[in-house]
Amino acid sequence: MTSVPLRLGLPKGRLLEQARPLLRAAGLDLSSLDQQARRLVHPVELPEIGPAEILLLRPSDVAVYVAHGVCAIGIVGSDVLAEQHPDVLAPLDLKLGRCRICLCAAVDSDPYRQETPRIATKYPRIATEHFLSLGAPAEIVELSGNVEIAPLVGLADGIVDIVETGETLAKNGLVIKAVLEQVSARLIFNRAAAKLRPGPLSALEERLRRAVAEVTP
Amino acid sequence: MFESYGYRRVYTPWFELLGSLERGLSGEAQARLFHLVDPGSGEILVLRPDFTAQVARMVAARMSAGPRPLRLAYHGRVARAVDALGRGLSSRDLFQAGIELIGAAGPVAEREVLTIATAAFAKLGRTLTLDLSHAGILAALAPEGLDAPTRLALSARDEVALAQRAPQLLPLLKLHGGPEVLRRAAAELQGAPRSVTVALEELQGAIDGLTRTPPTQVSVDLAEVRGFGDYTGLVFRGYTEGAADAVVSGGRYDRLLGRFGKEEAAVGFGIDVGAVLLGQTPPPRRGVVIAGQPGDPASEDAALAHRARGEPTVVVEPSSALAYAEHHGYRLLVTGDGVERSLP
Repeated sequence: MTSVPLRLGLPKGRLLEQARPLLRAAGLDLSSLDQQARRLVHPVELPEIGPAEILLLRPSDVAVYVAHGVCAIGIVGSDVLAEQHPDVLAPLDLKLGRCRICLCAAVDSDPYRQETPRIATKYPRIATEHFLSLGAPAEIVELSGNVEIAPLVGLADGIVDIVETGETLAKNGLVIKAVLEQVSARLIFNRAAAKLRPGPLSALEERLRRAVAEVTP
Repeated sequence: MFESYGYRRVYTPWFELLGSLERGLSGEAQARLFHLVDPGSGEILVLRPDFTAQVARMVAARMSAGPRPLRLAYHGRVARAVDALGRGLSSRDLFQAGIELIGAAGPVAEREVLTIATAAFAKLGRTLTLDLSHAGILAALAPEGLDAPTRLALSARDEVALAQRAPQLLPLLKLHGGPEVLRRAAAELQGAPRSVTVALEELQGAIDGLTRTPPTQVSVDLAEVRGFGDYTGLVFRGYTEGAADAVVSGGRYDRLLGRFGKEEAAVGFGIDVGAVLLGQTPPPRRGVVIAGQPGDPASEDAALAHRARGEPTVVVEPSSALAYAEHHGYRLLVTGDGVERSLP
């Protein structure tokens, strides 16, 4: 059997930018990402572990790559874990990318008091499970982004979405009606990789654990 | 392979009445059943989700007398519906091969099945890493059982979710690694019920004396609680390069037979053969193609001679013989005048 290189799946975009100081503090040299900004596969030297590969992925795809074993390691928002339920290990809270998944609607509207509210969301599973847990039916409209528009134009009675500062909500005349999940970034491992390469994976987990303790007040 | 260790093949039906299998399946297993309706009677049928319950029933019904232990092997297809949470990416039509050792308690029996699992992979030129856990630890620390989200948090090592749901189980998240974890566990779980100590001793017993032939790779993970179902003691999974999750799953299930008749000690495992073969390199070329007219006595005689030596042999028209041999993985082409040509 040829051994697969150790691969690390990172979420392209805002979460990666927030994670960079932490990854540097853990000893990862990310200079390749700056030098060749458009490449999606980068070599990286992991301290104590050796050469590895970084894959830059869509945030919602990272857990898929890890669950299938293509990446041994990944960094992913817990919103993705709550939505996809991927069968992976999630041993460490990186305490960054913090936000909340909320049910939001116009001030004068209350989706909880409607017979069958229509809810627009990028998180159909979280939204469905939330309303099911209340024993209330809801009609879920799945969108891929800019969900805040939906209630303004009558596509939905409310939205289930990520709220970071609340600014976008306010600009679009929406308010938080309920907080469904607290979100933060997590380190995830493929299950087989955690058993077949326990040394390298635990070493990286320990370095990141120490880095989280240093970076987070 | 299992026959060489004295395990006898048994056969079970691949679909049957729900009512006749139901009591042998844990709630977890029942949730993953494929249901069919018998067009004749309107009764509900299920596709077999694994072999263990069927073998247990067979033993209770037809083999309850006679010396112990019984060594039984099986292989065939099993079907699984995706579980309620939608996890699990493997296909739902699986090919499973495994063994059950019935009527044997204690570490000797456990070492026997662990060794056979390792040997099966060694025969394929593969290394198996066995990851051990014990159903008794969770039973002692959470006697009232765990709900699905808590179980999920534990098995995902998710300390955030577990701290909210069952903080008393947090120590388990750190108890994974080599066999030395058992010593650490004994220290960390000191205040726990006596049954935890018994479980740790049983695990130690299963591991001690394992490392002879073939060399066995063993790790321990006390937070691995997926699919505990009917297991009563040792629980284990096996991992190999090239597969994204465990390819072997097994353990001790001393109470299952009691649901069909008399209670008996039992331990066994099943291999997800499809997942193993996915990571397998293609087999080496073998067999012989004889370029000649099918039916021509000289060619057929030559073919018989090769077959007598155990080589799969086929006679193919000379014009297409080479292409046939290359495409289908034959190692040797024999042309009309007896010239042999090896294929790379």
